[in-house]
Amino acid sequence: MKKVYHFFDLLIKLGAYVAGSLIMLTTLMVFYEVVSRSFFHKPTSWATELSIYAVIGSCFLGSAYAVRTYSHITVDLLINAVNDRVKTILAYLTNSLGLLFSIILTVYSYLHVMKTFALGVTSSSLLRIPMYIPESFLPIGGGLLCIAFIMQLIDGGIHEGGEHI
Amino acid sequence: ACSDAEGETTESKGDSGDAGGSTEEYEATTIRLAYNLPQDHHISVGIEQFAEDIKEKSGGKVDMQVYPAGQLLSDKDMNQSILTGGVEMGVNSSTLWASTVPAMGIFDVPYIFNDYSAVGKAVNGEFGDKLRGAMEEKGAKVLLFADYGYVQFANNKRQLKSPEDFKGLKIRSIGDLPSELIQAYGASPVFMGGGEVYMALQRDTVDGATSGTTAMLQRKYDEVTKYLTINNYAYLEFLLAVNKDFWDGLPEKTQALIEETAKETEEWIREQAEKEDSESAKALEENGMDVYVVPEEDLPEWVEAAAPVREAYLKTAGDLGQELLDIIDNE
Amino acid sequence: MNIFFAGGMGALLLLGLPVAFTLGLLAIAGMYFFNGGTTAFMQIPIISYKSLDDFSLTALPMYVLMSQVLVVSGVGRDLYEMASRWFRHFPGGLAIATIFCCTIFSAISGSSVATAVTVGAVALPEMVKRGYNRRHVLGLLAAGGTLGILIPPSIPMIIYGSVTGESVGKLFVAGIIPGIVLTLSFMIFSAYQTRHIKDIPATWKERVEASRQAIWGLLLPIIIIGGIYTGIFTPTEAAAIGVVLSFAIAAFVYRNLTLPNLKNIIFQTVKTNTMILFIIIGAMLLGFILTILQIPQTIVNVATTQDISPWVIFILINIVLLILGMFLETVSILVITLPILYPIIIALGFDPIWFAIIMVINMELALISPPVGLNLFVLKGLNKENTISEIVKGVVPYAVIMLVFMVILSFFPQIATVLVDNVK
Ligand code: NA
Ligand code: NA
Repeated sequence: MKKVYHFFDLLIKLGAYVAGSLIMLTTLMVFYEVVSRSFFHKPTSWATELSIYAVIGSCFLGSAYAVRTYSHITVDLLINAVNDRVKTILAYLTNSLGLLFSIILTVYSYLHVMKTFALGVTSSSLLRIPMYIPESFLPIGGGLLCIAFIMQLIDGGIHEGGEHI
Repeated sequence: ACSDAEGETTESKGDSGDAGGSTEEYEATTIRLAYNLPQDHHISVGIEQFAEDIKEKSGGKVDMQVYPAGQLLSDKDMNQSILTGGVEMGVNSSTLWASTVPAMGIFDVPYIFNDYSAVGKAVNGEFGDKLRGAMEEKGAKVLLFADYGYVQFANNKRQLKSPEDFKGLKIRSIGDLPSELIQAYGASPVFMGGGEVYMALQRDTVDGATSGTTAMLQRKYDEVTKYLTINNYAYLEFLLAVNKDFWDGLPEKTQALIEETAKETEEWIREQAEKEDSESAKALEENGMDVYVVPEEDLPEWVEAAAPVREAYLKTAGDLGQELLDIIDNE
Repeated sequence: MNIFFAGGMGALLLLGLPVAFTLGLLAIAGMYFFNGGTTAFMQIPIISYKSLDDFSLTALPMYVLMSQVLVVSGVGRDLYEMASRWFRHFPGGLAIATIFCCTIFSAISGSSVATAVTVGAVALPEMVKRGYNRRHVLGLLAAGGTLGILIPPSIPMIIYGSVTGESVGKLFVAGIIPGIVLTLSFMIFSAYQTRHIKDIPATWKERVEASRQAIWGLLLPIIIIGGIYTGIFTPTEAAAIGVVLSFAIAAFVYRNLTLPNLKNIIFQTVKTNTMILFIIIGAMLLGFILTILQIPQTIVNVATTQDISPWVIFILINIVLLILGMFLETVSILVITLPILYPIIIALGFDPIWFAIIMVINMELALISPPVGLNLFVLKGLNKENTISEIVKGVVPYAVIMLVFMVILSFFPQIATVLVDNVK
C-alpha cells in the first residue's frame, strides 16, 4: 500500500517535471520563431501552434502537483476561524468535492478524446495535427488530479501535504 | 420540465381549435444558435433575421436563442459543440469544418468559382448535396451555405501584379490551404493570434495578410497596409449547421419552416456578399489603399502557380474531393 | 438561479475548496440542474480546452517563468534596491519605489498577474522587513499590479480589439496617459498612507552603484518595448524574449543559474502557472453556463434598455461590469459582454476607444475585487501568511482611486483620446 502511494507521488511529480519542460519548450519555440522570422525571413509553420499545445499540456499535467503542494488558491476566511476538528471535516469535504470535479473532468475528457479520434479531427493548419493528441492532456491531467485528491483524502484532515513531494 | 412543455402544447392545440392538421400550432422548442462573426457582418445580419423570422412565423413557439459574435463559442470549439449538442445550431467557416470534414476544404481551393452566381448554382446542386452528405455522416446537417465573399491579399511591400511578386513576403495566414497557396506563390505564411495582426502589419512584423475586403475594412487594415490585390482567389463559405440528432427529433412542420426560412436567408446573404465585396473594396480605396485588380487575361498564370494547393487538397479530401473538383471542372 | 450561483460560490469558497474547482464545480452543477442534466457535460472538455487554446495566452506561463528567474537570480532584487536608494528618503519612499517597479513591469508584460507576481515577490519581503504595514503593502501590490493591463502592451486591449474590430494600436496609445495618471495617483496615495516611514537618504555614490547593478534589469523593458514598437516581435512573443534575456542575465551576469536554482524556478513556475490557468478554465466553464442561461445578457439588457439618458445607461453599464467583475475573470467578462455593450456604446454616441479604457479600468477592478480576483490570489500565493481579507482591506483605497479616476475620465475623455488623435 505504501509502495502504491509512493509510486503515485512520483507519478504526480513526473507530471510537474513534464509541465515545466513544456513551458521551457514553449519559450524556446517562440524565441526560435522570432529569430527565424525577423533575422532570417523564415517564419516557422509550427512554433505558434505547438506552443499552444505545450501550454495546454503544462496546465493539465502540472495541476495534480499544484493540488499536492497546496498551490491552488483557496479562500481561508472560514478555515482560519474554526477549530481543528471542524478543519478536518472541511478538509475531507473539500477534497471529496475536488475529487468529484476531477472524476467528471476525466471521464468526459476521455469520451471527448475518443470522439475526436473517431471523427478524425485535425488542426486547421499546415501541420494538420490529429487533435486527439493535444486533447489527451485533459484526461491524463484529469487522472492525475483524481489521484491527487484521493491521496489528500488518505492523508486526511488538515495535513499540510506537499513536504514529501 | 419535460411534462410541462407537453402540457403547454396540448393546451395550445385545444386553444387554436379550428379544423385540424395544417393550422395546428408549432410544437414548443428552444433552439440555441451561436455564431462568431461581428454583429454588423452581412452573414450575422442574415442569421439574426433568420432567427427572428422563425420565431415570428412559428408564433413564438420555436424559441431561437442567438449567441452572437463569439459570446458563447469561438470558431475553434463551434464544430465540436454542434456535434455534441452543446448548442443546437451554429455558424462556422468551411475552412474550420474542413478539419472535421476534409472535403469542405474545397472552398479554399484557389480559383474554382469565377463569379457569384456560380457558387449559388454549385451549392444548390450535386456539389452541395455531396458536401451535405459528408457533413451528415459526421453528425451535422447543413441548413444553409452563407457566402462570405471573395478573399484577397493586402500587403505593405509592393503591388502584387503577378505571383512572382509574392517572393519573400511574410503573410499572416489562417487555415491549411490558404497557407499552401502562400507557399506556392513563394511567400511564407506566418501564424499569429487574430488580435495581433493589426499591430503586426503596422510594425512590419509581417508584410501582409489575407482576408475578405469586408473584414479588412472592419479591422481597419487600410490604416496599416498600402496595397490591396484583388485576385478573388477563393470564395469563403460559412455554414449554418444543426445537430443531426436534434434535427431528426423535430416535428416535420418545424423542419419545413426552418428549411424554407434558411433558403430565403441563403439567397439574401448571397446578394449581400456581392454588394459588400464591391462596396468594401471601394471604401478601402477611398481610404487610401492602392488597389490592383488582376485582369482576366492574367488569371491563367495565377491559377497555374496555385496548382500545388489542388494537390494538397486532394491528399486530405481523397475521392470525394476529386468528385467535387470534377463537378466544378465540368461546369 | 442567480441566487443559486452566487450562494453556491460563496458556500464552496468558504468551505475551503480551491477557487478553480469552485468555479468548475459550480459550472457543472449549473449544467446539471438548469441545462439538461449530464447531456451538457460533453461541453466540459470542449470549453476547458478552448479556454487555453489561444496564442496570446502562451505569454502567461512565460511571464511567470520570467518573474521566477528575475526573483531567484536577484535581478528583481537589484532593480528594487536601485528604486529604493533613489526614493527611500521620501516619506513612504519604498511605496513609491514599488509602484515605479510595477510600472516598469507593466510596460514589459501585457498581464496584471505577471506584474503582481514579479514585483510582489521582491517588494513584499523587503517592505515588511523595513517596517511597512503588511496590509498596506499587499494593497499597494494588488493595485500596482493592475497597471499591467492599462499601460501597454495589454492583453485585455488586444481582446477588445479583436472582438470589436477597433485598432489595437490605437487602444495601446490610448492607455498611455491614463496609465501614467493612475500610476502617479497610486504613488501619491501610497506615499501619503505610509508617510511616517522614512529612511536615511542613500548617498549619490550608493545610488549610482545600485543603478549600475540594476542596469540589466532596466535594459529588459527597454529591449522589450523597443522590440515590440519596431515590430521585431509581437507583444505575446515579447514574453519569450524576456525569458531568454533573463536566463542569459542570470547565467552570464549573475552567474547563479545553478541546478538547484533552476529546479526551484521550474517548480515554482509550474505551480503558479497551473494555478492561474486552472482558474481561467473554471471561470470559462462558469462563463459558458451563465451565458447559455443568458444571465449576464439579461442583466446588461435590463440595464441598457431603459428609456433614459445615455449617461445613466453608462453608469448602469459600469455597475454591471463591477458586479460581473467580482465573480468572473477578465477575459470571460470581455468576451461575454462586449458583443452586447459595443453596439450600445456606439449607438449612444460614445467614443469606442475611450470606452475601451473605461472597460480596462473596470477589468483592473475585477482583478482586485473579491471573491474572484486573480491579483488577490497571486499575492496570497506569494506567502502563506497573507490572507485574502487582509489583501482586500489593503486594496480598498486604491479601488476608490480607480473609481474616482473613472469619473474624471468620463468628464474628460481627452485624457484617453488626445494621444490617439495626435500620434500616428
Ligand atoms: Na502592460
Ligand atoms: Na473580481
